[in-house]
Amino acid sequence: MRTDGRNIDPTLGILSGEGSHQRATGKLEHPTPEPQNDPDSYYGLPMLKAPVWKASIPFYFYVGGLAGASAALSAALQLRGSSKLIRTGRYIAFGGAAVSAALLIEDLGIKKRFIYMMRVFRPSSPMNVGTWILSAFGGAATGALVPGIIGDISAGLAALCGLPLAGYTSVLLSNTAVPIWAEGGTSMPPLFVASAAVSATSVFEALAETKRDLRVVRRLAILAKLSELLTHLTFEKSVSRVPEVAKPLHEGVSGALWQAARVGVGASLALSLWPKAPRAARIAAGVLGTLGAIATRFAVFEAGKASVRDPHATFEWQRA
Amino acid sequence: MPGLGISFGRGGATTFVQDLQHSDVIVIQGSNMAECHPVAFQWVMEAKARGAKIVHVDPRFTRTSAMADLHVPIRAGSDIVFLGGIIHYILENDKAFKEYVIPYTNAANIIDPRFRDTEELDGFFSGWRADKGEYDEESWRYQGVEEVPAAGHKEVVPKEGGGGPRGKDVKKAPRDETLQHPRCVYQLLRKHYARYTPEKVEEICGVPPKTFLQVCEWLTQNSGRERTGAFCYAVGWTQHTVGVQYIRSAAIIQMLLGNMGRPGGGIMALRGHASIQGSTDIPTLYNLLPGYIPMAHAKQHSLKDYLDVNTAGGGFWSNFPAYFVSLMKAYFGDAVSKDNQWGYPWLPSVTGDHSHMTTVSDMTQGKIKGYFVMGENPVVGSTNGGMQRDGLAKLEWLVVRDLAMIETAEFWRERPECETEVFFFPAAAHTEKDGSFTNTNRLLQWHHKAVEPPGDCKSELDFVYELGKRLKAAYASSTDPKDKPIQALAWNYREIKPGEVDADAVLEEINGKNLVTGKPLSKYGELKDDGTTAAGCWIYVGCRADGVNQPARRKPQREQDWVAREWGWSWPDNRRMLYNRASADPDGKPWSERKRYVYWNGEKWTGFDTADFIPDRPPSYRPGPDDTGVKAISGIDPFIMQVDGKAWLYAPSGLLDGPMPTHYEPEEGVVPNAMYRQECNPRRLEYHLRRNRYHRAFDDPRYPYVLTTYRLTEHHTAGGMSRWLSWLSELMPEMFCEVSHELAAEVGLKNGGWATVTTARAQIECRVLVTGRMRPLRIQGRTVHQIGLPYHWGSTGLVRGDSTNDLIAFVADPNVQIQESKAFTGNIRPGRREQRYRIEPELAELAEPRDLPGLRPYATQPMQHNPEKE
Amino acid sequence: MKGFFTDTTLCIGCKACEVACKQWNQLPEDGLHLTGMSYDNTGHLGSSTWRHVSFVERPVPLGGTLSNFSWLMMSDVCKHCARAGCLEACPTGAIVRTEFGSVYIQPEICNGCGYCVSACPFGVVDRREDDGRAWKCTLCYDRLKADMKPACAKSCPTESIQFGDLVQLKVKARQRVEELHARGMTEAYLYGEEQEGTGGLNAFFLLADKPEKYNLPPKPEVPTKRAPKSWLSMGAAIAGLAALMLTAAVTP
Ligand SMILES: Nc1nc2c(c(=O)[nH]1)N[C@H]1C(S)=C(S)[C@@H](COP(=O)(O)OP(=O)(O)OC[C@H]3O[C@@H](n4cnc5c(=O)[nH]c(N)nc54)[C@H](O)[C@@H]3O)O[C@H]1N2
Ligand SMILES: Nc1nc2c(c(=O)[nH]1)N[C@H]1C(S)=C(S)[C@@H](COP(=O)(O)OP(=O)(O)OC[C@H]3O[C@@H](n4cnc5c(=O)[nH]c(N)nc54)[C@H](O)[C@@H]3O)O[C@H]1N2
Ligand code: SF4
Ligand code: SF4
Ligand code: SF4
Ligand code: SF4
Ligand code: SF4
Ligand SMILES: [Mo]
Repeated sequence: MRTDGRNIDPTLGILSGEGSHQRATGKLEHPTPEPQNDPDSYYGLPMLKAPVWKASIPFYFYVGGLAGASAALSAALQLRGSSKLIRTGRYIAFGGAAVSAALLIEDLGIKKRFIYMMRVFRPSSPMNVGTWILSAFGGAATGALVPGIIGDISAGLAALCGLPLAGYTSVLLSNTAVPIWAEGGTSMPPLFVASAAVSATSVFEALAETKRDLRVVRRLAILAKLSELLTHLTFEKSVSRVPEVAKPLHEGVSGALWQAARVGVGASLALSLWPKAPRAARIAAGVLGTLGAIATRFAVFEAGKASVRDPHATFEWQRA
Repeated sequence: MPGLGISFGRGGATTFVQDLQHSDVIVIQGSNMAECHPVAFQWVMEAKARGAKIVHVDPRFTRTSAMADLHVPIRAGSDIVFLGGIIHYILENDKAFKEYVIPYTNAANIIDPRFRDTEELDGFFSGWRADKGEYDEESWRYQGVEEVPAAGHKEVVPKEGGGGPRGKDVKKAPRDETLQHPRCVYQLLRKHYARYTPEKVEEICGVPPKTFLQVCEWLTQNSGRERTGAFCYAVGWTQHTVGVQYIRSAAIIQMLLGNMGRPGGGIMALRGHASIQGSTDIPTLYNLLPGYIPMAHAKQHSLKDYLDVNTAGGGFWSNFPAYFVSLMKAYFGDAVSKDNQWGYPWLPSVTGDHSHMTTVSDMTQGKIKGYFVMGENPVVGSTNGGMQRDGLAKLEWLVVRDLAMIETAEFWRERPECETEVFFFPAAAHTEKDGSFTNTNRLLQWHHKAVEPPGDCKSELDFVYELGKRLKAAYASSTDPKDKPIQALAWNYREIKPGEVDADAVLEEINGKNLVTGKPLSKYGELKDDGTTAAGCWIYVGCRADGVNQPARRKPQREQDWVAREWGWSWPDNRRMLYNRASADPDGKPWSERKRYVYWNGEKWTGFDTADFIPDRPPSYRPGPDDTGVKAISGIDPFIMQVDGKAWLYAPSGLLDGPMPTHYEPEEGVVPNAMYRQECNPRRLEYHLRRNRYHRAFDDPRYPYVLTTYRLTEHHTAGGMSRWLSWLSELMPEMFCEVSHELAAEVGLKNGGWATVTTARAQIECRVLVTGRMRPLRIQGRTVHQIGLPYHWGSTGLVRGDSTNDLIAFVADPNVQIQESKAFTGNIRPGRREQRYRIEPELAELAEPRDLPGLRPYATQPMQHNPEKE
Repeated sequence: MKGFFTDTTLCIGCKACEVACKQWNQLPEDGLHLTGMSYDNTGHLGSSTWRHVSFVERPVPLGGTLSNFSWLMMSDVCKHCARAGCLEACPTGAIVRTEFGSVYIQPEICNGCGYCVSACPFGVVDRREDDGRAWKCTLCYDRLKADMKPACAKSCPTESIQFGDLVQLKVKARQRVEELHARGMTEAYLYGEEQEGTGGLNAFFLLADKPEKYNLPPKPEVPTKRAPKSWLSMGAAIAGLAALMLTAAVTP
């Protein structure tokens, strides 16, 4: 006698199906966009599923980048001997790590299962790898707060984890079916790393007090901002291989953010280049740089959603 | 389905769906088989895989058309011209399969010299009685024969009794097997269809000659000894004022091509509800008793009258008394005997038309007090929903038994003035009770209870049994003779547990038993007219042969041959294909190896199936001149229920609207009848009531479009079984109409937008699907637009919408009183309907005459029997 | 290795598969509105629609038929990719490859990170917002365990959905294509039976028009294939940054 591996309630005839575990609280009106008369696609419907992530994710990209780069920067400064900024950097790294974790958990469908992220080690999943990087970084960043040699060693480790933390998020995005992210698979990492550097240097720039610190930080800030602007262009160029795919960088919310990012970083760069800038100007540079960096992450994120919405982006990208 | 009953002898699909796999061409017309019979359709797909050509003739391009080799768009209501055109093609190009036609059909019979054709009388046959508005079929008969009773429910026009069994002399009727005689059926057909040319087909149906001839060629190329073709139809054909004649037309084609009773041939009548075939075998109709035994009629005063009228001189209907007496023994047991005419006087007798529409119109006039609605949702499912609701509102009490709170039980909510007392009884569904379905194959299949009925739900069986017991109790002490039947009724069935009847006990009663030995009967041949046998339905005798529940057999097909006779049980005598004697040539040999099925092996008939013939009667047998009854069936008479053993190309009796199918326009059309001056079927039934206004016959400026209605796979009929279920509702969530791009442009309709559809009866709103699957047709030089309307929605349930049936008028075919819901007229405009719609004031109803002057009194319905619907 | 061969030229669009899936898996309804897209009121596969039948109306004939119109129907489902983007992306290991070769999400592990949603090149899997987890076709894991056909294949009246051993299915499929070509339906071809981007699909299809028409990707590729390049470029980038900082730090 073969059973069907399923308990059936004989009074009602209801099966306990796989999906009956779905905690379906009421209706989810599936947002089917207005069908278009578009013979080259399926009524103009998206072919892919839009990323389900909320704003906390792109914001995490920024915070994670800031934390990682800060750790690295403060470690670098340490090589030059004592400076106030070293501690500040360690605090930012520590705070950043904590906030990052919070932001990531915030986005989970089932928050209390965040720890499952570490059930396995899975090199094929950038998100899994990232989780390990973040945890390691978190640990080191915490240790870095301890005074003395332990702190210094941890700070070194934090710096080592901080750099990948600043960059892996780009790999996470490009490891998807989303045309613009996937197409930007090699040009996005430099952009994200540069943007992380801008995030950190902008903050340091604003906080630096001694001339000595300032010189280094400004030098770095300028280089970072230059490279962000540069990588902006390389990213845009690389995804423009298929015009349909690059569209979101020119229109809509993502387009606006993309432009804003450049303006922000550009303006910030200009201020940084001002030799004897007053403190206010430096703070302004910092703020603009920060906004620019944030805009960059949101721009890329929104561009991804937009490029999914358009089936032709997917089709033409694959056909190209 | 008298279309089939009259032509071949039995009112059921002539074959079984599994056999379609052997067809070389399949014409699906008047059915959307893939959508409405998806499981049966797998056999069409199988045939296609084996290289058969599939044709779908339908006003719309449907999911069936998508699978066909050729879709032929046609104007709703014009099929007789299309099919007549095919008959014309066959006859004029001499494509008939003569070796089959001459011996097996009445092609050679010579018809009474008084007969006149519609070609001569401009749309009327001879014998029209203008005063009565009916035909007198005397002049339709075989020459020199005093009467030719049709098979089965032959009493279409009830007769006074007397004169003994009828049609004894039919076998003596003259035949001209050269088919040359000007009045032989073959020549009459040629004359009758002479004008049904490809040009006319184009002019009336809107089908270009090239397409039409392609269908003709495929059909004729696949006829003969080696090849066969099949027709599949359903209610796209039946729901017309000439519905029965649509089916007759297909029957004629299939006879001429020699496709009847042969593998891959036949006419597949796709029945509707899971057991609709069962509900006509053991009928839910007012004028039939189980096994197509006509109901007693007031004109037949004694048992003798009744038996005389219904007993045929030849064929198996000659055993009528045995079937009837056994039925009465099943009803009343020992209470009936020869002395009390086997209880005949106890039977209620029909006095007139008590069909659904007539009953409802009586209801609206307050003539009916109480009403049981069990397993039906007429407020949504039957035409003119407004009248349906009016009628129900005029009742004193209404009992509804259903699975859900359907519109028929809820209609009063929108009618504060309604005083009807409504009782709702929750019903157990088929999964919650034992019982049997009789499907479109005439196949009885037993289903066992899978789950307990929830709450108070009860099966029909238990409900009715309990009701009967209470009635018997109530009348127990009565001395009034009219209560005798209830007192005498045998009413004690085995119960599984108190209140739950054993359904198998009912099957036992249906199968019947020998009252002497007490043994179950095994075939209807065993039935006697002396009261020693009882059987609840003679055609079902054998379904419990040897005391075994045959319908419950579930031997998989892969463990037996393709006919799978050990799966379930089909009537009659577990035959899967009817008239299968015709699958062998007159000498009893298979027509060809490829089409071998049933044949004569020297001493008996054998093959894949139970022979539909006298098992040991050799092909060479010929009856003597005075033989009657079963003896009169010759070795080459495959249609053993027919009085003359032949298939009827021409129906000398049995149909109220003529012996040969003739084109009439629907009650409401867009063009004049291009064939005859008589616009509509003169014999159709109209209902002249305030609530039932008709449009002009054609050219009604207010209602310029053809409307047609149908089903969707995703819903079931009036929705009681689908609109309450989320999984089905989400697939077709809203009422909609289907229109062509051209019409959408003309009226300004947007895909996905709203539209309002109006007729003189009502106004409904629905969403719009603009689609290339609907296409305007060129008819008589003008553009004709058709609008498609599914009819599943109503005012209750999970998904709700306006009911298409509110739009449709009461008008019926004379033979079965089926509504004309497949072709009528209306108008459409963008936007939603007004909140309160008032029917327009009276209008000159018949500006264009539907009938030739003076030839038709607007009589209400004349008395008649109406065989099963659909 | 079990899988599906879905022959869309046999599909009559009855949606029995869609209903059977929902019934067997007791999935909730999602949305009761008419889309206006032919007879497709479901739109797409989703968290509670694991089978979806698409309808494509074309004013052109299908090869080998005489009608001047055609209506394509196709029952879509998770492809159970030989290299599955969802599986390789899943950070929790909730998605596993079963003994039947199917790709299965373990609901008791999934934490709803949503990565699989963006990693599926076919837009199949989706996260149910109120439930929080990602859901998709299980290839009726529970039925296979009990050695029963998947509910959808079982309910398909025309054998448009054929379930079975992949190797045999592929042989059958190739024969079917030849048959159809011989009958004049030259446009018929197999989709996903071999597919280098995904290493082939365990649920592959016979189509009669270009994939886009059915809302299928023309050249899907498992995202992970591009990951190494990204990692390298990231490595380079952070190395650059590190260098930058060091030089900046050491130069006076
Ligand atoms: N899914 C599903 N299946 C069902 C049912 C259901 O409700 N849902 N109902 C069951 C029942 S009760 C029945 S009776 C059967 C009915 O089965 P069908 O008769 O196949 O179903 P319909 O959709 O009523 O009509 C069939 C086709 O007739 C076409 N038609 C309309 N007028 C004409 C005409 O004048 N000439 C021709 N040639 N075609 C015309 C319509 O366009 C439609 O496509 O289905 C049964 N099966
Ligand atoms: N315009 C238009 N009108 C039509 C047609 C058309 O093609 N066009 N088709 C006509 C045809 S062919 C038909 S058959 C009719 C159908 O019309 P109806 O028969 O009035 O509609 P159904 O929904 O089939 O009604 C069956 C009811 O029985 C209930 N039921 C199911 N099982 C059981 C049971 O075991 N016991 C009880 N007591 N109830 C049960 C179901 O819930 C359902 O409500 O519609 C006719 N009307
Ligand atoms: S539901 Fe029953 S009757 Fe209808 S198609 Fe399926 S099997 Fe046939
Ligand atoms: S189709 Fe998408 S969801 Fe299904 S296995 Fe492939 S990647 Fe995973
Ligand atoms: S949502 Fe669930 S299944 Fe999908 S990747 Fe995240 S954990 Fe895995
Ligand atoms: S295999 Fe099972 S789960 Fe997957 S679509 Fe078919 S029925 Fe649904
Ligand atoms: S069940 Fe089969 S035929 Fe019906 S829609 Fe699904 S795949 Fe097509
Ligand atoms: Mo029906």
